[in-house]
Amino acid sequence: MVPVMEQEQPREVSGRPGGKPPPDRTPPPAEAWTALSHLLTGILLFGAIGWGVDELFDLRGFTVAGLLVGAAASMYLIYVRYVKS
Amino acid sequence: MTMTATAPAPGFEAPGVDAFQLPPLFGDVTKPVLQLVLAAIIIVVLFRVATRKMQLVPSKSQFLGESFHGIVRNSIARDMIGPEFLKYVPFLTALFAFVLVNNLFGIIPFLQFPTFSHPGVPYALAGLVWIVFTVAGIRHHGFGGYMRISTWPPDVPWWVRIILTPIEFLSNIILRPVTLSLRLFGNMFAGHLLLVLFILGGEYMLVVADSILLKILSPFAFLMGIVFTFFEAFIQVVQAYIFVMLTASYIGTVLADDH
Repeated sequence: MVPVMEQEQPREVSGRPGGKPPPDRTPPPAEAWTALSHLLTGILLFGAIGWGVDELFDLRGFTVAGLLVGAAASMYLIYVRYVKS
Repeated sequence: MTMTATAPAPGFEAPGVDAFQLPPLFGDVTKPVLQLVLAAIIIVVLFRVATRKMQLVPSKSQFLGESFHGIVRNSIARDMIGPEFLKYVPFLTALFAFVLVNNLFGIIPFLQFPTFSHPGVPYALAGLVWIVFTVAGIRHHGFGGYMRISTWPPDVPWWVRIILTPIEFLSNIILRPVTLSLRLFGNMFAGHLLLVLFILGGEYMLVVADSILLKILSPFAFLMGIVFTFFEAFIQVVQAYIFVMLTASYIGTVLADDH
């Protein structure tokens, strides 16, 4: 009888036998991918905007400034999304 | 020695993108197309067999099928999605099986081509994933609510939002399917290229090259090919798992209430 009972346990679909309560936020591995994506996106987006300004107005330095602003902004975004809340 | 000097063997050309441009088998049908269909058939047949005679005490095939389903349900969907995870388990299980079988085609003799090493295939799959998590998010929060949780960082001044919202919009809505597909494509492409390089290199050393030393050393190239085949098997399973885990986490993120 005992093995049959044990087999029955995991087949319970709606209940959560012995399971821990669902975490209310995304777990670490996926969070890491999202954070990395945010970081790269910020750097590339503002780097591209800075590069565009440089090209359009024949200036220098906005590419670098954009890259730095993008890096800072994405780090702050990651802080707001995953550390502060 | 003089022979190598007078009649040099043609140099070894390392395999490149050409190794992936397979000629069509018939009409417009190429090997990857055939493999996609084959993967679908294999999965349907295997799950049919596994679920044919469902019993309380499972048969071996039922046990395997349930274990596979259990991995997706318990260690991917439930952890990543939260309370509403059950609705998404069939999709995630099918997705995992499909990616896994197509990846493993990369090391199965006579097929030996990972379907996802053609970038168009993972693009299509990631597009499907994008539709699923976008629809899930919009149905759960409404369009405005979905945009708010995806692009509206909480508790920051408005002028910071001007900077942060474009980043989140791009990262969460535009780039998610791109990174999802490129990760899978890159791993499968590089893995296949590595195997082709070792096997063709070994063949060149053994057959084409005029050097006794290279002929003696050629078994080591084949040995590396075999070692990396096992390594690829591992990568193929891991990448299929990551693809499904990230899909589940995207669904979980759009379903989550404010965090």
